[in-house]
Parts: sequence; C-alpha cells; structure tokens
Amino acid sequence: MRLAQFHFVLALALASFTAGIARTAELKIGEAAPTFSALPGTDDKEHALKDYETAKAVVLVFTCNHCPVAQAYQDRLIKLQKDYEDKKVQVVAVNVNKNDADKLDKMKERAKEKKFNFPYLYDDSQKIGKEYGAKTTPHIFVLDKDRKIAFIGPIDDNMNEEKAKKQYVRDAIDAILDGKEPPEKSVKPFGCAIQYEKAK
Amino acid sequence: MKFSRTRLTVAALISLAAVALSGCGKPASLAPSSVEITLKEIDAAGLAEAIERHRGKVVLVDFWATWCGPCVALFPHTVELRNRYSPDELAVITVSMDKRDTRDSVLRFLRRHEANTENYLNTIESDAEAFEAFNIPGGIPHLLVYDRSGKIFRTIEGNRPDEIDRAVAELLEKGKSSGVEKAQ
Repeated sequence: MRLAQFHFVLALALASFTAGIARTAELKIGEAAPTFSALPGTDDKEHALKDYETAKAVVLVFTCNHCPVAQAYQDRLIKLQKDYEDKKVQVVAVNVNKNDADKLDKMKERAKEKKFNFPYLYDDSQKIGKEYGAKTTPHIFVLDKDRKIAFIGPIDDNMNEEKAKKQYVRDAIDAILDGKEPPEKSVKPFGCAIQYEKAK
Repeated sequence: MKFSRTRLTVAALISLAAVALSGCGKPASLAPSSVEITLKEIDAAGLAEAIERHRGKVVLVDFWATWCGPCVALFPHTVELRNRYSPDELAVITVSMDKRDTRDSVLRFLRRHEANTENYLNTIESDAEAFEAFNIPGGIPHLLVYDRSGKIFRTIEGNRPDEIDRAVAELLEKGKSSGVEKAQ
C-alpha cells in the first residue's frame, strides 16, 4: 500500500515538474494539429477547434492587438476570410499575449472597430501557443481537412502590402483545396516575438 | 545701483564652483561626451564579415526594429552594455530590420538613444527573405552572443536583459580567470 502511494506521488511530481518546464513545441508539417476548446472569443462565446469541423481548411493565426506587424496584416486577414468564405475555409485568430493592450476587452474593441469576419480568441494560459510553437505575431498554421499541419509561416513575404510578392498562405490554401501539397510548406515567420511566461 | 566688485567676484567664484562640482558624481562610464552615430546598410554576408572583424573579442548582436515594442524597451540596455565594457573586450552590433527606405527614422531613433554601437540597417526588402537570410527563427528581439573564437555562445529571444548580461559576463570572465591565454 505504502509503495503504491509512493509511486503515485512520484509520478504526480514528475508530471508536474515536466509540465512546469514545458517548452514551446516544434510542430512538423504533416503532424496532427493540437486541438483546443473553451477559448473565449470577442463574441463572448467559447470556441473549440471542432466547432469548425466542416471547414475544408482552417487558417489558425496567432496574432495580437499591439504589434505593428500584426496590425499591418489585419486587413489582409479580413480579405482572406472574405475571398475564401464560399470555399469553406475558416480563419481563426488567437491571441496568447499577456500585455494589457492585448487583453480580451481590448481585443473586443479591435474586433468591433475593424469588423473582423473571423473569430478572435484569447488564451490566457498561452497553452495553445506553446502547443503549436507559435513564435511571433503574426504566425500562421494552415490545417488541411484532416486537421494535419499543411503550412507554417507568415501570410506573405512583406509587411507592406503593396510590396508583398509571395502569397504563402493563399498558395497553401489553393493547393490543399486541390488535394495537393503547398509549394512552400515552412517559412520563417517575422514580427514581434511572443513572450511566453514560465509556467507557475 | 551698481554691483560692487566684491559681489561680482563672489558670484563668479560661485558659478565657477558650480561648474566644477557638476562634473562630480557622474557614474564611471566609457561614454564619450560627443557621440558619433553611424548607420550602415548591410546584408547577411556583410554581417558575417562585420562579426569576423571582431574575432578575439566577445560580440553581441542585437536584431531589432523601431516597430518592435520589446526591442525598443531593450535598446537602452544594449547601448549601456557598449558603455559598460571596453570596445577592446566587447563589440556591440545592432541590426535594424526596419525597411531601408525608413533609414531617416531609424537614424533619428539611434541619435535619440545616443547609440554609439556599431549600427546596421538590413537592405533586404522582403521581410520573409530578410528573417531567413539573417537566420532569425522566432521574431525579434533576437540577440546573439559570440565567443572570442567567433562561435555563437548563446541566443537570447525576447526582452531579457539579465540573460544577456549573464552571457556577456560569463565570456568576459573566461578571458580573465587564468591570466594565461592559451594559443588557439
């Protein structure tokens, strides 16, 4: 009895220790996308990845309010959702930043002001960011219909819209809607580094 | 009513004393009183050469941009490191990922911060290409600390001045500990 209890306590201690030093993942192309649930959105509802199970592709965008690069891409995200709406592609934006400017009440203001046509979710625990290995705002993970990671990287190659030449995300979506692999699968993201807090 | 000579002399002496005393109490620093701020354009190959030129010293490279809040918050610390250690021991290089055509605003920022560091501005127009070329995997702030043999000793992500201080101090101490520099 005592030995079993000891093993249990040891296992529990080990589990909490490793959880405490959880690093951000390095998701690979083709891996199953981590799921999420009960994330609050600017619509005052809770959201889960399976809410979008009918979507032929999910464009998961790690973004935030304050970063100028994230701001520079807001209109492009709205346009992306609009352009791919009838092809059943779903943009889902998530913020894991802990600054005051990025808190849920400020997110609601931004979503309203810009008329976001996609969910804008908040993960206070930063868990979804760590599980995906989201490094910057913005950082995009395109999920195919089987919810495997098909593309990781920036939306395009230039934060100035007029100068953007390579449409990484659009090309990735077009490819996977066609049952093909994206021409470019993994591109280094650029933007403000996401600061992850050490788990308490 | 004329000022008496005595009063003028006393006033002059007090002014002189004030000027002389104002020089005291400044923290010991290597910051020159007039700072020349430079900003050169650079690509990845150029940066590699710039780092190589400092072989034999500890080198800190700070990738930043005026649009990056945490980078801006960290910048004074990078300048302070430049002034904390001798340029013979530590080279401090900054690389701005701002757009080349915003050069003037980058220079204004550097001047405001009295950045007597070795400052560069990325010339690659595409952000994706630039971050790839400079091998910045997770956005900025992104800092590299090179040892005296030109190898990367530590990479620091985010606004973490303590980590930077530790890495730099560790490397600088290594050079002093035995007092005997082994031939490479």
